[in-house]
Amino acid sequence: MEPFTIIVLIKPVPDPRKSRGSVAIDPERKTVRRQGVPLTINLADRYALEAAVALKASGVGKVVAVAMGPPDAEGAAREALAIGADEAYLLSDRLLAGSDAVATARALAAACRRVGFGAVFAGAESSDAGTGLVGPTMAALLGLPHVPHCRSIALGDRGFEAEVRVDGREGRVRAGLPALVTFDRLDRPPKSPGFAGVVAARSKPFTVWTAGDVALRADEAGMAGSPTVVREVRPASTAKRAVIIGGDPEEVATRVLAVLAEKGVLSDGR
Amino acid sequence: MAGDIWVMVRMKDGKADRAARDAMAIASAMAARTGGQVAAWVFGPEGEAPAAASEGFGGYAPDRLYVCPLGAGEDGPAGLGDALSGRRAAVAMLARTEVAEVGAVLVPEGQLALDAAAGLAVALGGAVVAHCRAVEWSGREWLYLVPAFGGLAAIACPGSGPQVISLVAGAGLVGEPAEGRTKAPEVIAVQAPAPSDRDPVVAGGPSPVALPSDALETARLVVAGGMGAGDPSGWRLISDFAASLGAALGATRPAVDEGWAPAEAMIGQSGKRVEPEVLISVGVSGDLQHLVGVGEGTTVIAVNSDPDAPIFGRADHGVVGDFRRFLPAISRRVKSGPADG
Repeated sequence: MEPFTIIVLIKPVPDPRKSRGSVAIDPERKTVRRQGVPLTINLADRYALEAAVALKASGVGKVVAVAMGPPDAEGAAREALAIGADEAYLLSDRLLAGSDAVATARALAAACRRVGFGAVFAGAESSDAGTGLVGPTMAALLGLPHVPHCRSIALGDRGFEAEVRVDGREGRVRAGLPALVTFDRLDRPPKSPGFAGVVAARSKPFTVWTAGDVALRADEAGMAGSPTVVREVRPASTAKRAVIIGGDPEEVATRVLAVLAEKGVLSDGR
Repeated sequence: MAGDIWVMVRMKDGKADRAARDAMAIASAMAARTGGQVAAWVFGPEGEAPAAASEGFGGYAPDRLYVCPLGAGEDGPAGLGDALSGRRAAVAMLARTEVAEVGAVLVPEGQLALDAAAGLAVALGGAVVAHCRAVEWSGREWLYLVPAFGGLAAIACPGSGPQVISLVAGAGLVGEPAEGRTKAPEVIAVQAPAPSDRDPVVAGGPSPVALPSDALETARLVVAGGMGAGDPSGWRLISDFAASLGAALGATRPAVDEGWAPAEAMIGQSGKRVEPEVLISVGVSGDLQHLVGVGEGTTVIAVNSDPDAPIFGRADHGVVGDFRRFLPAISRRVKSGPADG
């Protein structure tokens, strides 16, 4: 098999360890306001990136990270280089602000066409919006087979062979090239870049693209290109005020068990 | 929006799954607004499917019922392969109609059904909405309520194109009654679409195994752990506590991300939605992304060492302190005797 390029889609998301409580909703756009919030690579995308980098040992020519986001998402794109991507592109343009899943997929698909690829890897879901729609929508836009919720992947003579876990079923799936593979978060922490990776990243190519660079028209991008619109965001439920159960562990145990007994949720009729 | 309302019906244990009735009720209300028909599309074994599917429609019969013999349905041995061809099946469905006559397509929620939903939206040139909890008539347009930003986002599709909506099980209809529909549908048999060599295929080797899936959703008592567990030993303590109560164990996204709990245990925005009688949350800060996964009818008991944790603003009972002190005491009492002592 000829060496080919794997594009890994990187979503810059608010860093869950640094952004607690500081993520706000933009009242005009009804989207998450990411400005000023430290951004990092979406966790599931890290596993996609790790898998792509690991496949370089089996003949993958190049791993290219493609991200879309505000200018301050550059750090997340550079982090992808430190983890092992060979090149990184950040698609960043005011025209793209407010893109829904379809408009996002359209913009990223345009960037993928410009880069050229043998496969596209991405996280199955993002930790902030979490629609899970961008991957499958891109597969449909690019006319690619989609291998969903991959947990491990290998490259053979006939394409990819992947372990997947979907809708409560596990199995092995094969797909020819080109293909789009989405990855789950795994039950282990992702690898960290390491000092050598960070140093190596400094000399790797990093490019910022506008919508025009990937031949995206204004009416295809951002809110104008999004078939859905958020009319309002409602609070999930009414606030409560907890009645605090005080006392030593034995007293607390008595009162907690009394609540459980009252609700009839203890087995053995307790 | 104008045109017919299509519903993709998933078969489970030989009948339409529990999402079908809700979807058919919603489709009935939407079709009343557009003046179009309701068309249901059922994948299942030939012959028995129409009657079996109709049983699950709960009095909201479609005008047209398409039956497509795509494998043996969800539970068949080839279930995964069939499910993988969902996008192909969905697009084949469109070959039976004119795009201009499609108002909306309602798809049952699932990881693979989402693939079909996305494929349909692209093929139709329309909008797609995932994780829809309720469909609401605003008096002017349909709104799709979706957990987002720690609350519920009301999403509209203002364009004229078709709308593909992925509905969670139990999705509600708000602001508009659904008229019952009892007229027997016109049943149309459809040939299964031919597999394409571009489709991913299930490779040889072990056949797909079913994982335990709905223990969390059906439990009456759930213990949910969060980052406050601190480390794997803290998580083990919470897990043992859940076991001592006979409770199902759930987790917040950060706890899953730490690798303490499997992704299947995640409760929240992109995880599971649970509504047990009682949920005991341990070391959970009260991130809204997690709390949207907990039903409003659930009594919440929160254990957290931070008296200012937002979880206390969403719980019925609170225990302020180190869970390592309190949980073992509760477990011991459960083992030793009645709770009213």
